[in-house]
Amino acid sequence: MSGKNASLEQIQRWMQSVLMHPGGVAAGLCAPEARAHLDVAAEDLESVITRSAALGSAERLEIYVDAYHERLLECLREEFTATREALGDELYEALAFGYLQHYPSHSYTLNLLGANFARYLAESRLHAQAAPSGAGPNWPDFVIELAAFERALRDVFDGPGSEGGGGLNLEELAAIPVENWGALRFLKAACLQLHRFEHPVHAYWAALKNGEHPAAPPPRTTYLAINRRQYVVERHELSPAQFALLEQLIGGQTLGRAIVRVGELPEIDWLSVEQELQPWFARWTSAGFFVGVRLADV
Amino acid sequence: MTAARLGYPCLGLGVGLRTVHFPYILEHHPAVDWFEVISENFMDSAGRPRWVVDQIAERYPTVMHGVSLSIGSTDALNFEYLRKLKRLADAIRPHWISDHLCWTGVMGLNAHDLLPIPLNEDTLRHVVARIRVVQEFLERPLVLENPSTYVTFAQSTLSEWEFLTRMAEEADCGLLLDVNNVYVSSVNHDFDPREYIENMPHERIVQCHLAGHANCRTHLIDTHDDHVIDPVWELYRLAHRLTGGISTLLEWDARIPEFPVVHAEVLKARQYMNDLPAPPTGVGSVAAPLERVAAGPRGVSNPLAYIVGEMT
Repeated sequence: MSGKNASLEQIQRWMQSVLMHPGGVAAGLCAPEARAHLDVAAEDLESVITRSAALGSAERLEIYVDAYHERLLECLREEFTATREALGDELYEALAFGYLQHYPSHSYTLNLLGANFARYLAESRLHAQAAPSGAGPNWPDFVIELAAFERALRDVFDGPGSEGGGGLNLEELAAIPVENWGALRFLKAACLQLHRFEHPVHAYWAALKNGEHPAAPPPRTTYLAINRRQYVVERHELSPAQFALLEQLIGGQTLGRAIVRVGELPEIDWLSVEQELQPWFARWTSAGFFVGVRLADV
Repeated sequence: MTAARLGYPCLGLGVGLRTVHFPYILEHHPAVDWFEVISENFMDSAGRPRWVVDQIAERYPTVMHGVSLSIGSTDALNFEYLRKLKRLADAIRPHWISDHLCWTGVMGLNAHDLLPIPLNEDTLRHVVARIRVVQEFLERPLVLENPSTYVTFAQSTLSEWEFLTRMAEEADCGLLLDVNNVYVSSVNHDFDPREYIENMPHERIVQCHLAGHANCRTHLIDTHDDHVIDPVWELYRLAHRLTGGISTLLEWDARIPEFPVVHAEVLKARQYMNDLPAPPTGVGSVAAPLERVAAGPRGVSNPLAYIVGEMT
């Protein structure tokens, strides 16, 4: 059929379907999702796309098809450098290509393009079928966590932060009477994120940044705080008790209530860490985890 | 329209702001006339990119250049996007806001490319109506750029310069003339680039873009990854003469050199601001556009740095 009388809407829907098709122009033109909008056979392509002196219609359309995939794949490469290293180039490219089919961009900004990559890896687990020789049984989960970690770094880098405000400082903290501490609520920095991973993904990432070529690490439950100070993203490894306490505090609990709740956790020896509370809060305050405190109504 | 260039000033010779140059600019404060910032790289940022653009907007004149307005799309206009665009403009006070005559996606998807539309009476009405809505929302005239394109449509009945002229007049908007895009499209679609520029409505041209491109033997691709070639400079000379002088900006978005190299490239425009021929540098001519062939893989139009801010 001819596309001679096609409307703008038909042409755009058809063209987008062709250029997003994973099989290229020839497959895209034949695909039902394109022909549903404009039923143009490949031999009638010139009824929509004209030829130039040097190129035929399909060759001209192919320029857009190539650019679509290459541009978005390059965007993902920039965001997931460590995940790519862990997967190897070939497997990474195949997975990123598959990701674009399952999670095409719905946004005006490419900053969101990689938001679902870790989810895609977890849902598809395609990489588990192509694990490199010598990879342990937990390697697929390590890769998923690494992708989630890299995405978290990006979110913290460009998301809301506390650079514009004063933040809580050590002097303010020290000036609070001890009898008030139990009723304190700590107001977290907007950029602070807490993560529990089953692999030390941050150590792998940092080794790569240092120019090393680390092997995929064995499982080790890892607690991380990711924060930003003066526009620099920082990573802090936490103990289980620190993580549990911070999780309660940023969930809105008063310090007194948070301590009680953490003390109830069977895996945490609270008595042994209670005396560490002051240095913890000093460290967290210096690291900009909190923008302020307020006394809860008792 | 009551004044040439819609009353917008001539800002001089500017450079497209790119992430790799942030440290240099903040440290050295180079004597650049003005910067063009990619709107989408900053409108959602609450981190360092936004802080940097705030610093630069305090010191330099700026213009906001978008890649996601999708003025030619048949999807509804995205008012969330427009609200953010306006909020950024309220904060950094650009001299104007520009985007492209193109569409970037339909059916809620985004291809993140500057895709061409058929050029005819129906699409002209469609685009003009949408420009009017956008201008009313943004409370200022919009400036739209001619994109580099790689296909043309059997449904087109107007030349691109005819379409842009009528669009600008009917919507009362401004134009951003990318002379490299004119050149790239002229080779890809077999038209005379001088005829294109001579027939544009010169009083509506607010700004000019310059850039390098890649030669793929059978076609050119707008890669923004090299120096401006002589035939494009010659077109710039023509545009400068016909417009009487307009804000001029260099885009360099892939294989980006050090900032002084990029700045020096746009300053070459001074050589073309009179009618004397420039000394030849042996990089081809308008009449022989396909002599210079790209080495290596340089095939992506609108490269990544153009459309997404990088994390540093």
